[in-house]
Amino acid sequence: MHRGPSNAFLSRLKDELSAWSRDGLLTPAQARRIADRYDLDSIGRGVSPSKLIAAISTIGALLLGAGVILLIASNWGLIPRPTKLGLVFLTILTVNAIGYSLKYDRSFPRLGAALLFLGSLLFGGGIWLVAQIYNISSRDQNGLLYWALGILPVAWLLGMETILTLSSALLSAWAVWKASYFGYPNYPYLAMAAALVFPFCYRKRSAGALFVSLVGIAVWLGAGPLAWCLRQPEIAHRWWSSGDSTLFPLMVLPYFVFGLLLYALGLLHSLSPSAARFGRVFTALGSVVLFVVLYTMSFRWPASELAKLIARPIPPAFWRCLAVLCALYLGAFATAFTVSRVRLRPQGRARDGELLFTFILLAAGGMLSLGLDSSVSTGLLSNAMMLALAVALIAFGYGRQEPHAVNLGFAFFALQFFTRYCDWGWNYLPRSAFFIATGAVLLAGAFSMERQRKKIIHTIRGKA
Amino acid sequence: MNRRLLFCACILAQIAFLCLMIRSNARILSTGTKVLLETAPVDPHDLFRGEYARLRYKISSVEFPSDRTPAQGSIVYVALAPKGKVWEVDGASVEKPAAVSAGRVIVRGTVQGVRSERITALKEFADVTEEGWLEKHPDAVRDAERIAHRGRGWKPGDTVYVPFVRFGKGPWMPRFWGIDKDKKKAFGGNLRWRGNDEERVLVSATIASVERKNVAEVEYGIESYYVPEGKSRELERPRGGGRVAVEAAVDSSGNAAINRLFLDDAPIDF
Repeated sequence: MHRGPSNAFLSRLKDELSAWSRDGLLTPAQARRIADRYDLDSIGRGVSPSKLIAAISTIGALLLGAGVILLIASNWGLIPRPTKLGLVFLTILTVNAIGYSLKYDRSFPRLGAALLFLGSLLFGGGIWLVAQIYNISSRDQNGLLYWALGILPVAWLLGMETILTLSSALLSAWAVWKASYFGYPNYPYLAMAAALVFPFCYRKRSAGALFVSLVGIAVWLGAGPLAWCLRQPEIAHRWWSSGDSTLFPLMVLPYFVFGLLLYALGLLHSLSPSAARFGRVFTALGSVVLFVVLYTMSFRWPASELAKLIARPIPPAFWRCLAVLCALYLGAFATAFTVSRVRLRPQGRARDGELLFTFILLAAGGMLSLGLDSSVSTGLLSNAMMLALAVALIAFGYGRQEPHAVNLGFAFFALQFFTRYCDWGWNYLPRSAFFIATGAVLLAGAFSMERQRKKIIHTIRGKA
Repeated sequence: MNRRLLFCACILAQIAFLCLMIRSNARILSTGTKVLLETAPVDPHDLFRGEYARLRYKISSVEFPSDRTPAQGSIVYVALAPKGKVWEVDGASVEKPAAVSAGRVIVRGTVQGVRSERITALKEFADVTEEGWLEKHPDAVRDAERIAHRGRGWKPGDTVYVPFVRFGKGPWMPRFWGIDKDKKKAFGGNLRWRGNDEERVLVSATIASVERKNVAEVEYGIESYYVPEGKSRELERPRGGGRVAVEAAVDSSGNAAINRLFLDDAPIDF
């Protein structure tokens, strides 16, 4: 799907269009046609009407889909089986036909797209309703897989990002559900995502679908391979006999490396101008994963729990999984470093600092794991790393002129600051003073940070 | 080929897939062997599919030798054979059997979890509190022939006391937690308690064997039965404590599908 131009481009085009008309480069009729083509009249008037129409149509499609499914589901005893099947089939066919016609034949692209999205929802509803009518309960999870695979060709063919995102979310939901229900890694998901979803995300330049897919992989990693590694029977017997119920807090270690891997992959993407928008998705998600891990480890209880667990026997499969993630990270790091060196482009070299930062984080993470016998040192180190991450994101965001990275950095900093303040204040201040002081600190802190954030964002936008 | 034609093909493929689901189910029901399975329904609710009864079968728990225990998530083949009116587990393996002996069917399932249990086999049941009870209720004892019990120090040849209970005119069921080697302690020492239409009797049995087994929880794809709104309670707690059974069809590949439900031998028609 061809993605629409950015708001910045449209705003600039609107200004330029006036200048071109004034200078006689375009006739008023030509200028009007260009303005209509890009809906330039709506620029600067808040939400674009076209986006509003798309949003309202999609919400309408969702409500309609849910309503039809609920109607058939709740009245299934009253409607005869063939009638019910006919209704299901007819609804799917009609909605898709009308949607296609509106989108491609009658110049109602947004309404048509919403109906095609509804058609994809109804196919899923059809699977569950047929399962209900015939009492087919086998492999409930696979219903999600069939749904995802059934709508993927439509997304490919029509280049529709909404259907692709839905398909990706369904595939991830299937993988996580199946992995957690049956307790096995469910590796076919990774192959399917790599073969079917990711190429499509790149080809159609859909950052949203890529984001959903990466979130799916992040959740699957924990529910599938990592949970499986930590549930090996030979070790499970020992946990119970030693009084430990679970080794699952150990998951923070692979997730830390996974966050670094995502960040390094983001930097690798950013070396190519055509893939830079995907790089932002990777780095943002990587930063969030890293922050969540460090934030968790900055509390005394998880740190001490992890210190206890790491001293116990851990299944070799877990270490293998961690080693694979480390190898993938180092591979991404080395590739990005080599590419930026070989190409010797300024934007490539500018990424070197960020790459080295991820490597330093990995080294610090290694130290964190080794020093797990003390929750105090672990807490201090994870707090220092969290602060470094927030500051680095603000600095790199400013350097790369990416407001979202600056916003993320400020959000991390704010969360860390107020968490630590509350930790301290709750222990050392009288309750009334704690609440009064916290309120004042929150207001003052929010004001100060918002001012700083706006200043940086304003500078970035000014440069752009 | 233009986009319109390809789009039509995609949508028709979706419809064809739904038809395939129906055909596959119809084929199992028409060609499969009908087996009657004992079940204990529970009552969940699905927003998009309405109300359904979640069914748990006696054949859902399958014993495996500790050296041949299937992994969680793996496919297993469970042999069923008729015992009276209902069909019960008569062996299981992780490989598909090459041939099936007469009078048995093989049903394919997925292992949802494995737990290690001490299985105690009981034999030589005898009346204790009510003379002639065993003669009147021979089926009730069948449920107590193999039990998962944590009794410490139990060994073959020991005598244990097994309590049975029934509510209203429902079936007699063994209460495994109340089994004890000491007659006075059986049923928590509360054998004479009466209330809520509840009856209790005690029988004795001899321990035939005690062995540790791995028990796999197996799903066969027949664990849900969709019912009209408000009707699942009839299955969950049948009036008079009736026994719910499912007639399922099993095809030659081991796929199972629900044909109909029975409440105390009478088909349920919603």
